[in-house]
Formats: sequence, structure tokens, C-alpha cells
Amino acid sequence: MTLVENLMINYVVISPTLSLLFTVIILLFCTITISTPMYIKKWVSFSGVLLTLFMVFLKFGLYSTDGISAYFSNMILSDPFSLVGNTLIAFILLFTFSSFWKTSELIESKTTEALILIFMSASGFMLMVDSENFIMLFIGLEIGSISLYALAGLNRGDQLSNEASLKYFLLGSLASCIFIYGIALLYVSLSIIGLYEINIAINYIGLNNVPLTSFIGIIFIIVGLLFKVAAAPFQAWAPDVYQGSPTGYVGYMAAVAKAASFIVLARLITVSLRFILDQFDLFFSAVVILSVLGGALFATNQSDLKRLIAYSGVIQSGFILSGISSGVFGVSASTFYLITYIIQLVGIFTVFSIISGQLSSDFQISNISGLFKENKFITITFAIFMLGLAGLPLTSGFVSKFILITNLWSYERYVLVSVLMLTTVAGFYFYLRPIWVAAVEKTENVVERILLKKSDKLLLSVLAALTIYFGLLPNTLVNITRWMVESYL
Amino acid sequence: MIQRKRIVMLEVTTDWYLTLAAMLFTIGFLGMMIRKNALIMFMCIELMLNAVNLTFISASNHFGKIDGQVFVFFVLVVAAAEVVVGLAIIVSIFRKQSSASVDVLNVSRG
Repeated sequence: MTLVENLMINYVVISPTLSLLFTVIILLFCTITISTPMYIKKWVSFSGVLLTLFMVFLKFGLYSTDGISAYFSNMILSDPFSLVGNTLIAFILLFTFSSFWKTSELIESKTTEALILIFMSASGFMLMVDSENFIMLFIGLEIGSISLYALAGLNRGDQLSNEASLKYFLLGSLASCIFIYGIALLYVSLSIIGLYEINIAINYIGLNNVPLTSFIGIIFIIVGLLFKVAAAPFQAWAPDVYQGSPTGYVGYMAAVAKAASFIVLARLITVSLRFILDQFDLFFSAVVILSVLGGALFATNQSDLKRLIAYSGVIQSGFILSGISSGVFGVSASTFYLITYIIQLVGIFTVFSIISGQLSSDFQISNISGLFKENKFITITFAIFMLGLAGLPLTSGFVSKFILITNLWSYERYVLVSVLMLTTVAGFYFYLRPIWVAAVEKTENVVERILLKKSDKLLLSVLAALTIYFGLLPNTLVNITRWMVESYL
Repeated sequence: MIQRKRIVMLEVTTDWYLTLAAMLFTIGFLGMMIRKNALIMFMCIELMLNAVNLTFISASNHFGKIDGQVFVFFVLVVAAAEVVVGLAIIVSIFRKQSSASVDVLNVSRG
């Protein structure tokens, strides 16, 4: 066996990342070497996204022939988790393309910078969901997050944007430090740096002999990931960052970090911690209860819509975490929840960026007062997404909450179930208020008619249709998430 | 024959390095929590990353495995990348407000 065979080099498995990098290089060439008009940059980046989607499709082919397998000397893993994560990130890129392109177009001197940062962060997060080894995981996480720090502060004239960027940077780096110190502690105590090796090592030495240091290490790693998904008590950055960043980028930033971190957390729990999960019960329950109650408490009196969505994100993180931490079937329920939540999140931020239509970060609840009068279509889709977040029946939010809570019930976690039910009911207040302001409340200054492009109309219809579709016929998605988890049983 | 006085040498084991790294990490973490100057907070992050590096190197030396030392290279690269982006952000704030204190970051709240 030669060295090259031993390395198991397979370019298909990292092809989505490679195609994103390829797009970035072409974009660099289009700006630095020759100056090109906007529409060429637009088509280059859009075809880059489409190419990435196609490469993800190729990865499915690789999985169907090879099954769960590791490449690049056990650094990169090809398994259903990575497939679902890659698909999710590629679709997030596709669905947020119109909003981030519009915002990037407005900053003329920095259009390419913004696009490059976005594609680089997507490539980093794709590496992160692919990784089996902690080195790869850390590198992917950092490529993704460092690009996002810069993206938050791209609008340098705006003080809010600067502030968001610095806060995101300081707290995000702190989270990365904690994350990597967790890996270091795990390495010190068990001499391992892989996800699979945790399970093997713990089974080998027996649960009672596992040193305390490795438990602290695992908790640090989980805390580092929870920072990225903004679960309380690690949520302090989220509202400020969402509020300060340019509105068109927030949808992408929020969705991609959440998707990647939750997929990695789900794999960490399914692959590494499956047999010792009950050791972390108290920790996870505390985080879930703090997230849902704290998020609901702060969300009730927000006048800034982006802050409201940030706190709603804290609540949803709590929901997703409650499933992930309950056991292997909870992971599948949580993945369902994650996918439907990301569809609604992307939809809401698309609506915001269409309404705001400019670079500024400001988006108050008064910006949408009287929206319904002139913009019926936008208001209806906005209402569908908001009701989806709230969990009204007939939307995907209801089904995902239903599956999650029945799952928790079967695991006999009655305290969590009651807290989650309570938050769901309380949530209707602050999710319905923007709809009330937009559609029912009488105001003087009505939002003027916004000319919708055909692509935006199509995008909003698709996202709203998906929200309704998964609410009526969730079977396909449930089967996908089941398949994802069952491959490891 | 003169009997030599036995010198008690304290052997510096891996534990010492690990304890030092843990202390450095704690100092960095507390600095992040307490200090208000963005540059100092930034240095605290670097300190924490270097504590991680020390942990990796000493553990790698202890086990006689190379992968911990490989990890250190990646951490160094990431730290360098963080320096680039972080300093740019701090400078852009400093230009506007001629202060690097995080106290001035009070526009968004609620």
C-alpha cells in the first residue's frame, strides 16, 4: 500500500468546499486583475452556488457506493450527517443569494469582499460538518466564523455595524478558545483527537475510570458550539450582532452558523457520547430551560425586529438542544426542527431585506406598520413564517414542535416538556405582534408599495410553500432525518 | 572521602506544564471578563490560545505522539488569522471614537 493510498485522497468528498474556493478565486481575479461589471460578478457567484449544489449531489453518489467512510487519513468523513449539513448549507447559500447580493451591490467598493467572505465562511462550515478529526473541526469552525466577524462589520460607516463586529469578534474568539481548550483537555486525558475515538476510548477504559478532565473537556467543546448557536447563557452576542449587521447578511449569518454547529453537535452526541449521554443530563437541561425561558422573557418587549428574531433564535436553539440531548431519536426530531426553522429564518430575513432595501442596519417594528395595505403578498408570506416560528398548526413549526415534544415525552422528561409547552404558548404573543402591527393596526404612515422582482417573488413563494408543505405532509423530511440517525444505529 | 551532599532536584514533570497552562488560561479568561480595553481583551484571547498550545505540546511530549504538536501549528495559524481580522475591527472602531474601550459600544442594547 503506497502512501497515497494510505492517505485516502478523494476530491469528491470535499468538492463543495473546492467549488466554493474556485468561485472565490475567480471573483478575486474579476476584481483585482481585471475590473468587470456587476452582472458578470453576479453570474459568477450564482453559478458558483449552483456548482456547489451539484457537487453536494455528487457526494450523495459517493455515499451510496462507499457508505460511511473516512478520507484524507481519517480527517474527512462522509456520512448522512455531513450530507444533510452540506445540503443545508448549499441551500442556505442559494436561498439567501438574492438578499446578500442586493446588499453587496449597494457597497460598490466592497462587493467582491462581501461575496468572498460569504463563500469562504460557507466553505469553512462545510469542512466543519465534514470533519471527523478535531483539527479539521477547529479549522472549519474558524474559517467560517472569522469570515462572519468581518462580514458583520462590512458597513464601516455605520456605528452599529462596527459595534456588532467587535462584539461578535470578542465573544466568538472567546468561544473558540474555550472550544479548543476543551479539545486540549480531552487530548491530555485520553490522548485522542477524533470524534470516533472518544467513544472507543471511553468504552475501552470503562465509564467509571474516565478522568474528570475529559468530562470537563467535552463540556468545554459543547459550550464552544453552544456559543455559535446562541443558546442561553451564551447568547449575549446574538441580539447585538443581528441588530448591527447589514440586514441583507443577517439571514445568512444566522442560518449557516446554526446549521453547521447543530449538525456537528448532533454528530458529537450520536457518534461520541451516545453511551454516556446521561452524564450530561443536568447541564443540557439547565441550558435548555435557561434558553427557552430567558429568550421568551427578553423577546416580549423588543421594538427592534431583528433583536426579536435573535431572541426567538435563542428559544429555538433551546428547543433543538432539548431534542439533541435526549437521545438518538431526539437527534432526528431535532434535525427536522432545525431544517424547518432554517427555512422560516431565511424567509423572514428575506422579507426584512426586501422591505428595508438598503444597506443600513436599522429595522424597527415601525418599519412594517401598515405593510398589508400596499404589499399583500409580502405580508402574507411574512405572516406564514412568523406563525411557523410560533408553531401554529398547518405550518411546519407545529409539526416540528409536536415531534420534538412527543419524543421528549417518550424519554420521560416531563419537566422539559412542560417548560417547552409553556414557552410555545407564551411565544404566540411576541410572534403575533409584528403581524398585528403589519396587518391590523391602523397607522398614518403606511409602507409604500415595494416593487417585487420576479426572483424574489419566486423565492418567497417557495419558502412559504415549504413551510406549509412540511406542516401538512412532513413524512419525507421525517424519513430523511430518521435515515440520517439510523445509519449509526 | 568526602560524602557529597545530596542535592534535591525537583523534577519538572508534565503536570507542571499543564498546571501552568491552566493558570494562563484562567488569567486570560478572567482578563476577558474584567478588562474593558478591547486591545487588552484581544491579548487575553492570545494568552488563552497560547495556554492551549502549551497544553498540547506538553501532552504530546508526554505521550510521545506527534498529533498534538501538529495541532499547535494549526492553532498558531488560526491565531494569526484572528489577529488580522480583530486588529482591523479594533482600528476601525478606534478611528471613529478615538478610544478602544468597550464602554463606547453602547448603541445597541435592550
